[in-house]
Amino acid sequence: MCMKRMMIYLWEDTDAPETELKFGDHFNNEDTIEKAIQETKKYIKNSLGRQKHKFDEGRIIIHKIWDASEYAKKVNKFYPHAKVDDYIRNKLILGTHISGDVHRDISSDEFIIRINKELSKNNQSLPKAGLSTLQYRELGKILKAFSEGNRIILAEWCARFGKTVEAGTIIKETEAELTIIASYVLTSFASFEKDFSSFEQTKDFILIDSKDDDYKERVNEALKNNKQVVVFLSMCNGSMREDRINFLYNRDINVLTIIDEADYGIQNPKQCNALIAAVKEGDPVILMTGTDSDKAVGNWNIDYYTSVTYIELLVEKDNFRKSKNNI
Amino acid sequence: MKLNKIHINNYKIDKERDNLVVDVEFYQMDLQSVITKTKKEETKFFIENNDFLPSWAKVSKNPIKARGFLTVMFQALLESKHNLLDIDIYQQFHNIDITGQKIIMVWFPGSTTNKNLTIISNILDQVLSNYMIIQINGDTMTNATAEKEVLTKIEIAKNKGMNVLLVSAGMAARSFSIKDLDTIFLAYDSGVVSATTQKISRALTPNKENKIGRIVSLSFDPNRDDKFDDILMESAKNLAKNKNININEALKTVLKTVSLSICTEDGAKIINKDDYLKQLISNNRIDRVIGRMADLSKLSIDQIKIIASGKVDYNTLSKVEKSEMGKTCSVEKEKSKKSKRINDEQKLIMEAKKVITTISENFDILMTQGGKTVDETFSIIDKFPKEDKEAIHQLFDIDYESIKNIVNNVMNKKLLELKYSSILEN
Repeated sequence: MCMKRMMIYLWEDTDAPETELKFGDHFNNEDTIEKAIQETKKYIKNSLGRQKHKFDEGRIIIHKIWDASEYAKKVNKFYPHAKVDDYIRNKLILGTHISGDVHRDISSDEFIIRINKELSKNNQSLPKAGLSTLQYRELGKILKAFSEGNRIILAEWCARFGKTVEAGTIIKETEAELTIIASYVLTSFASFEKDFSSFEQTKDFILIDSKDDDYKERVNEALKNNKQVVVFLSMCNGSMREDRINFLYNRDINVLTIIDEADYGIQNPKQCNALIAAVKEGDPVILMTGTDSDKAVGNWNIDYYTSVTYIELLVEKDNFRKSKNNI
Repeated sequence: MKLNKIHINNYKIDKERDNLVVDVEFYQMDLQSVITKTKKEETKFFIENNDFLPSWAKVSKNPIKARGFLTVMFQALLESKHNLLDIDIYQQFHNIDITGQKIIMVWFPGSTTNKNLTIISNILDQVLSNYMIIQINGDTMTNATAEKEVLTKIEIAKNKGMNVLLVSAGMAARSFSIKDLDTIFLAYDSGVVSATTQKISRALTPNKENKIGRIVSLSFDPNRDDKFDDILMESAKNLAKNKNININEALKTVLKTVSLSICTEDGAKIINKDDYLKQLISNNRIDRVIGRMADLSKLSIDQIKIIASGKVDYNTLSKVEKSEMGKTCSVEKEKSKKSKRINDEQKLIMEAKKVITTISENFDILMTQGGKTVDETFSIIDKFPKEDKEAIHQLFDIDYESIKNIVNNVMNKKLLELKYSSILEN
């Protein structure tokens, strides 16, 4: 049965002389969301006119397509040519709006985060995150490890495993009130922010960067309102690091610590010892690393170790293909 | 926080996600044909104490002297010149797409200086007619800007109808995703497995459906080339554990999944599990894998010290005071000592793993005593008189009980069994 949908989308022409994003809307009528997304892609391709070939050549990047139907209904713009995209761009700061559907001076990740937040604040449910076979298995292993009393977990998960989404699943399933994501890699937080804001299960997490001047007030306020709070803690050397650690860990509730890229910088004593000292007995810690688990351990006493290699991901892909062929 | 629940309430499996991963093919290329082709005068720098010992370390240390070698090698590899079919990617890669822009990355030894990397890049620029050479190092870009700068240059190359060869010695091993990059050449002799894994991963960014990441080890001595071993064996070990299958079956599955091929003049030959194991065992590579994969996390630092010394006595090992590895003490006072301690600990771990490698290498001495499995062999030796066990101690420099302890609790016993059963079969 066909269903009308208001789709909004973000794409980029890689041939453009300057990096610019294009944000638009499209009202369609398809029986499934998958078909609606495909039809929207076709719509974008057709909008290129004589340059349609660029689409097939991979020179057009489609960053994101959203089903914004509930949002459009809420703001009374659920009809063809309603210009939901204009409504949103007038409401939010989305880089520099040049003209038409063109935006500059904003990254696609940041654009997506802002749209995600706007949609979820206004009735729109986001896609539910589904897990790969191994993500699901590893989540089960971590929960079981916690239930058996293990608290310091070393997770060596290969590139492309989906560590960021996995971190979100652990926070969600354990219902951790306060999670600290510690990393030496400064770009780490942006990935978490983008992924957490993109999915229904994690959209309500309150994400706070401890570098922000008002982070303390925001953390306290969110905890008071019984929200699940996720705070990014940069472990680079800095005068404020100790103060941040003291503020975040010195409280009565359990704190979940997730150390991202645990084999890069943060395993050094200057970084990890401060955290080790701050973590309360019984509070869980997950050290996530793609490689080099020996190095990632640092000074932590590991209770439980799990790993997934890239080849294991491929084995599951093989299993998936075989099962599809058998159908 | 709920730390006692085991059921997953908020998530389901989406099998389609399993399909998003990029397929991988591994290739081993023997550079002997390049050496033969290159004039003797041009490979003199490989000579050491009258022995001809080619290595990537020497190439990267003397790239000007290696010009002839680099020219022949890369022209044969990428442009089908010099009639060296065994290293020509167009003859070797299964189902290679000969159309479209090629984006390839070559990793030189981590010890290559920026100056020498520049020389190498300049040589490649001069000798490869249809490749734009993009050098990635601190002189030309930063970690933060590398990806963006490379993408811009790739576009320029595309507009000129050129392929792209990215050249690096270590930079861009992390946080560097180029979707069209699908071929990696490992032009170094040996490396830390974590670094190799990071480098290989650069070819695994999902792009179009059916993308295949091709990883090529360029080797002067393929028999000793172990760059892929840890990745393959670690995967087999995990599969065996998680799927509850024996490690033989697991290794078979792994090799079927990634296809490891040996490049020959007649094309790339996919290697099967038995032939791969033969290679590992005959060149002692399996012992090095067993050593590297040993789990020392259950041992105290003092126990590791004893193993690392190579002079292991069971009584001492078991009675030693357990000063736990990595235990925190006062941060403020111990900062610099701890930094040194972490490095010392890493060194000790490496030494201990070498000793474990030696045990594995010489385990066949014990196997000759009988038994079809490791446990059976131990059961037989358990009954030996004291003098015979003492002889074992003399041979290994490690007493028998400690060997048992290490094999049962530290070494990956399944891998030792794999070696054992393969030797017995053959």
